[in-house]
Amino acid sequence: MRSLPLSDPGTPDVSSPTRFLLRTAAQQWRPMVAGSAIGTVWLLSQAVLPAAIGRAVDAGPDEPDGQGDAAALTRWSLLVLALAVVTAWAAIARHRFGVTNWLTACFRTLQQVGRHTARAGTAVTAKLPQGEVLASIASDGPRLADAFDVTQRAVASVAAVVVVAVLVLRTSVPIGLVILVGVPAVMALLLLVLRPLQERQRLHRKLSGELTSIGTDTVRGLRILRGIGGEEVFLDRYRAKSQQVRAAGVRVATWESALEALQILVPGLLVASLVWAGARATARGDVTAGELVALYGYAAFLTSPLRMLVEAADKYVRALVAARRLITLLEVPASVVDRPGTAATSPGGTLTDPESGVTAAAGRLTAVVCDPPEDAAVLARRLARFDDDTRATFGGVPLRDLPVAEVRARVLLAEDDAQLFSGTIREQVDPERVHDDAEVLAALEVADARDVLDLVDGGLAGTVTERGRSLSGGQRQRLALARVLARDPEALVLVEPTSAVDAHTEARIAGRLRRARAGRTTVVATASPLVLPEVDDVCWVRDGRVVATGRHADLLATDPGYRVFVTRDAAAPAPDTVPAPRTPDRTVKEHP
Amino acid sequence: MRTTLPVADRDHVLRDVRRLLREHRDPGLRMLALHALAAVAGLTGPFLLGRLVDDVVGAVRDGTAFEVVARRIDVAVAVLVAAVVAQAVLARLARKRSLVLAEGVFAQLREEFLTRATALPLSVVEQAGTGDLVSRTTNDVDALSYTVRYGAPAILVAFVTSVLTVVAAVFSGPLVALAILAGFPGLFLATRWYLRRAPQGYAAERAEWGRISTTLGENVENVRTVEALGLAEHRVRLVDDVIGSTVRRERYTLSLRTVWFPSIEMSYLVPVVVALLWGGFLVRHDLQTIGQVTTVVLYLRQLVGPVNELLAWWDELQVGQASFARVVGLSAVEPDRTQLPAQPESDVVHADAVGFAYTPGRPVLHGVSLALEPGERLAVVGPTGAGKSTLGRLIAGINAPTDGSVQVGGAEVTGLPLDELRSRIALVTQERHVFAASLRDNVALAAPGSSQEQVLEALAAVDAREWVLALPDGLDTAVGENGVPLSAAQAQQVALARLVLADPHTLVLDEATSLLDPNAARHLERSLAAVLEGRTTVAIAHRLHTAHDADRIAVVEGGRITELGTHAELVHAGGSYAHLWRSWHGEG
Repeated sequence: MRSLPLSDPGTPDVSSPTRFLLRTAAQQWRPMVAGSAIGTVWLLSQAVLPAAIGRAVDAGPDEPDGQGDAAALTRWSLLVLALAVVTAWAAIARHRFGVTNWLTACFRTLQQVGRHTARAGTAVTAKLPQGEVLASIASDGPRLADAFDVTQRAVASVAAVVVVAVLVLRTSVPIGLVILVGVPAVMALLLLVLRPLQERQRLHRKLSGELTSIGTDTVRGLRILRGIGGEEVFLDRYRAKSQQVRAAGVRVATWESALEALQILVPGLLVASLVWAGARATARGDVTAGELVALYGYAAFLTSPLRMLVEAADKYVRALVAARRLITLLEVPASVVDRPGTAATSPGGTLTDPESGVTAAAGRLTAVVCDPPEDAAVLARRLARFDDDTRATFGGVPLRDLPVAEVRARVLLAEDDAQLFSGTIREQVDPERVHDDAEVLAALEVADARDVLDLVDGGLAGTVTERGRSLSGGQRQRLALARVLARDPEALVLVEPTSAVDAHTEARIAGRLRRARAGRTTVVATASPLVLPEVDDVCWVRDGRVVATGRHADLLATDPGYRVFVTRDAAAPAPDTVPAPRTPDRTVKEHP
Repeated sequence: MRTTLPVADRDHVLRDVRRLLREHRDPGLRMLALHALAAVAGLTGPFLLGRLVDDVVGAVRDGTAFEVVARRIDVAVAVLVAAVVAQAVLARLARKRSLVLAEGVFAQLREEFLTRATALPLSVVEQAGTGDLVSRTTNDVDALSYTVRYGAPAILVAFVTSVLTVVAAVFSGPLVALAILAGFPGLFLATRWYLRRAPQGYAAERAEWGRISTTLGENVENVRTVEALGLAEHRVRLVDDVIGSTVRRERYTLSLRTVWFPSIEMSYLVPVVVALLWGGFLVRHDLQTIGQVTTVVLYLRQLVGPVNELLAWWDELQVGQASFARVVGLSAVEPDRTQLPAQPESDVVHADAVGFAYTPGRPVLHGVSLALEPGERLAVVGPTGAGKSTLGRLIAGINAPTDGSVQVGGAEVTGLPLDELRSRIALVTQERHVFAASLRDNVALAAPGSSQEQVLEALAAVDAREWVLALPDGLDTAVGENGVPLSAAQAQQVALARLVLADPHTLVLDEATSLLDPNAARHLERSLAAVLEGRTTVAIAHRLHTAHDADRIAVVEGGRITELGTHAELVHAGGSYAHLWRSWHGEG
């Protein structure tokens, strides 16, 4: 456990769930073997306890005069005490190994998942639905790890059953045989019940998941429901599903209680048959009273290995399900990879997209105005090599020929969806902690995001909850902008960086952005007339091709299509006339 | 500005637990009785064995014929078999009943929770955000599920079984049974030591597990940002870091258990040793029989199971209690308005010298007055934090003003019954939640009884009829989570269609289209125009053209309306609006 987190979690075997579990087991075989060995000591010390108690009972005063018996009683009682000490020691040692094995398997898997999800990039979300699989990542680790904890007890249980059978065989061969044949038969019987139980539990879990979804959906949309109505409809839906879950739970209860009853009945009958045979043997004088007590003790003890074996079977099934889900995640290949023979480096400078004809000159601030506007996102992704179909070049070198890590370090794409991570304000802007406070504050200043500091306690160290969901769209967007500005990349591609902020703020950010990026290559995809006056060059892109380039003011004056698109005013007034109000006939009341 | 939802205090929790116990008293008592009977049946084994030992030992000593002894053995074993069968059957019934009861109680709790959640006051819903509520709906209800369905019954059963076992031991051999006392000091001291440290230890551990889940989830949810910013290796380190701190927490709780487990294990076994030695003494002095000693020793062994169960669930119960306090805590939310008798006499909305403060002493609005003409479109512009959204909320009757009043037709807006308010004034925010339901249900929220035609008309009004009819099942298509995904613009159109059906005379639009890309926004503006037709509108706007199209514009700065007038008037006046307008048109 001291080695956690592992410096290298190793490569998982994703060829099948069983192999996945076996590979994980092989990677930690030493603690597994040690844990199983101590687990065996733990159970055996409990298994022989009845024998010791039996001897102590026998040593008890059959003969009222026996002083020697008193000594024997003390001896055997001390042996019971010694066994107790061994049991207590083995129990905690076993538990510690169990926890170590559990944590190692769980965290190894989660580290593998962490590495894969971080490195495979957008491929994971492109291939898998953002639903159940992704939601369960964190809970699959523990479920898988359960198999590694329970294995130690399962191994110990089998060993204990065999040893008890041998001990009983020494007292009575037929009774020993009853155990040897009886226990596996009982296991088989219990497993028969386990299967339908698991099926019902699966259905119950599925319905519970659906119920939680309905609940979450309802409270997520609560502002709408409270605002315009419909609470009753959604409440009724929740209630109906809740009752379905309850009904499914009752079906689970039927089988769970049946399993419980069998776990009492079957070992109980085993106890009864041993007692019967043992008592008759005692009456015949073949067996002492102490041995009879021991027999009872053995039979009663067998309940616990039996329960552990049932538990193991249950957990193996769940671990396999978890492993299968994790495999679907871990086997997705990365979307963008270094091409064979990649070695080139770029001198940097001009960023070009031959497909559209957009060129962002080195050191200048270039705006791309796209009609239709959704083309901008696609174009921006090409400029930053978000997939390998791009023909874009950086300093004349195709991005595809550069190592991916170099592209990411030098050409930065900031899309408009402003995804934040949970953490402090500081970590939003500087996740890797490479900047000092002044640099972070400067970036916040450029993005006009310093007001966010007032919303949280502790300024830069204040925490943003729920990936920034506590912030407004505009606040999130400005934090995300500060984040890319703080990295100060050689080339920065921004998509609609101010779409969620008000006009006052947008105008302010545009001016500051220009100064902050002076001398650096910057592309901003926008159609905002408050940003465009601040840029050096505008590329006017229609249907995927550049149709005009120039300064914003010149394009406004010379290109009517551009003017209409940007100012959204077909009858745009000449620069020095005051536009007429749309509805001049309406009376306007002034209020202070 | 954010308020956290209340968590129930100790008294409240106890009150609610008592209420649940009262409501489910009869089935609960029946269940407990069954469990007790099952436990009694389970106690038969050691008792019979003790008798058998005495019988057989006595018979051997007295030289009784084997057949006679054998018959007694047969009878005793037959009783034992009957007891085992009875225990199994009773346990089955008891277990089934307690699970069924627990399912019922848990269903009741979660339904009560959602009922309270959906009745939360408007102002609380608007301010609290959904995060806390979502985590109560998921994490807390889940944690409670475990406690209610397994924890509470297990504790009850373990308690009953422990008590009955001790009673049986005392009954079978009162003098030997004194050995039980030998276990108490160790059990008590070790457990007290452990319980003083464990709750905090486990709470910290759970918090770290929460961080693991969040961190891995963010890797996936924010994958595009991870990729774009080249954060992969940083995220790998972060996951390892979080795992590292989780391991430290785990190691701490393990160290607690390393002390506690052996201590209680010894506490179980010491009484057995004492019972043997003490029992030997008693037998030698003919104060107890061997059979009695045997029985008590076996009961002591049998006591380990339920006592362990009791201790193991104790921790769990504390988690459950915390979740319970959060689930029932919602009922402590005070209503945010009192209904007044006044009825609106017209559709005129009027704000008079309105001031508002979320926290006392820190007002965000100062003496704002505004009269809206029916059918008028007012645009509200101004910098972030100026109080635009707050003004919108007051007009929409979400919050009551701290000073002054907001009235519709002469009646205070927050004094209207909720249904009445909704039918008159609606607030539309940038929130565009699509419910996981059919498209029809999504539109007909406000008017569940709407006909197919009415829903389609509403959709047609917002220019959405065509794509809706093109969906796989038309109006019945499941949308939202796990359904057909809607684009942001489509989601917003659905939101607008809801409004058409709800048909309020006044709309407050709070940056309703600001999160959309400009293309979608343009398209939506056409849909929006159809909805706004004939209604009084207050549009809190980011985009200047929205302001330009309005009848009047209010510039809000520092919690006051600093400019108010038509576009032409404001441009003429040469204030901050005129300045922005000029830069918009390339005259900056």
